[in-house]
Amino acid sequence: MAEHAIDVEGLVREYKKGPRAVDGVDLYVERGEIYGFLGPNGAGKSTMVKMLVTLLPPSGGRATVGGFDIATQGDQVRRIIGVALQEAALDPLLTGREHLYLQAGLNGFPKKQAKERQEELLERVGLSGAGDRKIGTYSGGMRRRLDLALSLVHSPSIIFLDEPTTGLDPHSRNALWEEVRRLARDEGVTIFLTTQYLEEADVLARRVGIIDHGKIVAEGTPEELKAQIGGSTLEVTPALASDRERLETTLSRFGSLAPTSGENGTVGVRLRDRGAAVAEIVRALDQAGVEIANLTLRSPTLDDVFLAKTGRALEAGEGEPEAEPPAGAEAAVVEPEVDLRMAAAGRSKIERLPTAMLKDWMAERHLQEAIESGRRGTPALKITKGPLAGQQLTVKDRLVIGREGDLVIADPEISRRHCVIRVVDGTLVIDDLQSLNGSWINGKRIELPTLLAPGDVITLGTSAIEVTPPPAPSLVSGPAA
Amino acid sequence: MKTSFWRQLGLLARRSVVRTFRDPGSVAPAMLVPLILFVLVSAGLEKATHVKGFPTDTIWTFTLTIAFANGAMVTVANTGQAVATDIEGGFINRLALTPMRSFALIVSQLAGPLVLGVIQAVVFLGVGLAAGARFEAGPLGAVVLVLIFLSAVLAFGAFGIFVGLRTGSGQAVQSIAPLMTVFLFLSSVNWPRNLITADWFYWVATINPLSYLVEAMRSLLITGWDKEAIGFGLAFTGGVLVIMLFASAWQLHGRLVRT
Repeated sequence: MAEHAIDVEGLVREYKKGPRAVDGVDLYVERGEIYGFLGPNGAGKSTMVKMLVTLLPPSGGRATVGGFDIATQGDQVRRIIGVALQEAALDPLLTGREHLYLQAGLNGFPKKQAKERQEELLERVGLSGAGDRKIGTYSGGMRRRLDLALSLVHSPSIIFLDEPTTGLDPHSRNALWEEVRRLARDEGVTIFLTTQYLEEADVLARRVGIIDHGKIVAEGTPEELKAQIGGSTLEVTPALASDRERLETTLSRFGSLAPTSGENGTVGVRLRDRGAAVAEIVRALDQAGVEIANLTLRSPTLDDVFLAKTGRALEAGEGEPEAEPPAGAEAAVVEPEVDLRMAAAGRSKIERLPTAMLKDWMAERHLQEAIESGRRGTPALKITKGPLAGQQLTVKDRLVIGREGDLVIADPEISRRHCVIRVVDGTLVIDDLQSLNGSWINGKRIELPTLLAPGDVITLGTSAIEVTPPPAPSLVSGPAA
Repeated sequence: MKTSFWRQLGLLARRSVVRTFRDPGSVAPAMLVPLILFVLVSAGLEKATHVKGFPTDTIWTFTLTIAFANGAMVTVANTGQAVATDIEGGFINRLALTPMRSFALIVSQLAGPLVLGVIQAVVFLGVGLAAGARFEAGPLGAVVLVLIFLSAVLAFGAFGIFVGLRTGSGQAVQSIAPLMTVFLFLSSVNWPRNLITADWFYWVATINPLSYLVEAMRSLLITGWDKEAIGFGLAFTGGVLVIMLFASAWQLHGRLVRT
């Protein structure tokens, strides 16, 4: 069992006169892995963590953490783990520095080293300036960061974070995510993270375990889990309500019908083929004489996985954060396999394209226009606002923009990999990469790949990028990808 | 890395002192309420010195122990509240995840009230002497009175820790305070036992151990060196302290079910 950082076999926690909070859970976490433990309130996440960190004895089963048995080798387990429990357990009357000094001292640091460690960790979590303030004056984000720092005092090899971003604003959440990633990436720390937020599990965890009513209902990488429930879901709204039956019959040829809101006769189909089925479906509907009012392509989310496994949606209940990820954040994920030429069909998103436009697109009229545009030269980009203001650049194939990527913009409002701009048949198409704050074109947030034209202004965080006409060779400068 | 018991005790004691003095809710009642009671009861009992058999002709000398007894009892709420807050806020779990020894946590909780107790004693003595109280046992008697008072602070503090650990609730701890006041008034704190005329009250005051604490301190003011009274007083505080520390350790063991 010791080859994994965490190994759990049939772990059970039973309360007197109550149901099993944890009911025979099996899981493992590899060394250096970020494992997301996802589930709604009351699913058993915190009970699981309390057992693994030795604060609650299991009623049955067994588990090892770092190779030590949680039931019989509690002292050894505690020595190698760091824990930030759901409530940031801090003393409101002590300062940040005093907390860290106390924690370091209790963990055996001599005075001098305790002070050094205290300063090092305050610096790392960005609280040096607030170190002498009492915790009572800290914001939720500052408390969480200090909580994380406290869990790191003795340089643990395994860290348990129980809903670490609940109640945090997007900026604080991003900062915490970044630190969690850094710990796993640079220091090889194993992280067991519980969350009730889909986005958090999706972007942070290499593997995810979904728990409901004390049992693991699904486990795997986010991609594996999504793949388990099939391809993307296509939702089609007929122009005439009377076409609904024909619509269902036609769509059922391409996959299993999926639940939808049912508004305006909308029918959903979970596509068997993740690829180019959309074009075929549109053709089939056309042949069947079904006129389309709206069409939406949505990739599977972890919520779909939860729905498929439990029959209900995963909802953030009590303790919902002040700034929940945008409702569309999950739904806006676009399959990379989707033919980007679709975006070239029109300036609007491919969803809500009227049938006429889809037909036009199928006749490749707009595509031809795009190709013509490409012959005239690919538009360039000029950064007009933000840390890189004044830079001009061209895109050769694709350009990933973010705090990491091909074009690095040091802006905390920008996600690590914020968006990508691709060259498609001589035109530029921008696609948001599930960024937290979104990619905006001319003041409108995009949800699907969108064609860029000269004069468009892209807003990413505090930066603005203007799409300019194809540059003369002498004007080209800046990072080109 | 291992930490010695004494280093852990020092770290946690320092925390107890810091948080005690940063919490106005701990300091203000501990300083003001006993002094207010001292002044009010002294004013109310001024004529009592004329009663035949009253042990002193200076009421301030008789009532000074009210300030000390009440000042010690405030500690129950202070330590109990501190422990309950740690439990309610989860801080005790944070401590439990370190190599901290349980007994260090319990004993350290008494550090803040002890330091506050020294300040209380100096203030009560100063006010009492200024008001006209006199020590029959002399200056050394004043020192011994302070020591008895501090032993009472520790005893009541340990009792507060036990209540805090047992209930884990700040509200439950606060509800103990009025009961303690009733307990104090059912002792000989306001009236000498030999002058209590109601049989039931005399009986209750006699079996109330607080009477012996009060009489131990009062003997130094009125009688001089009464070894028996001092012995009873110290036996009471020492007994309560030891019993409550072990009871608290037992409670903490049950509450910290870390494996």
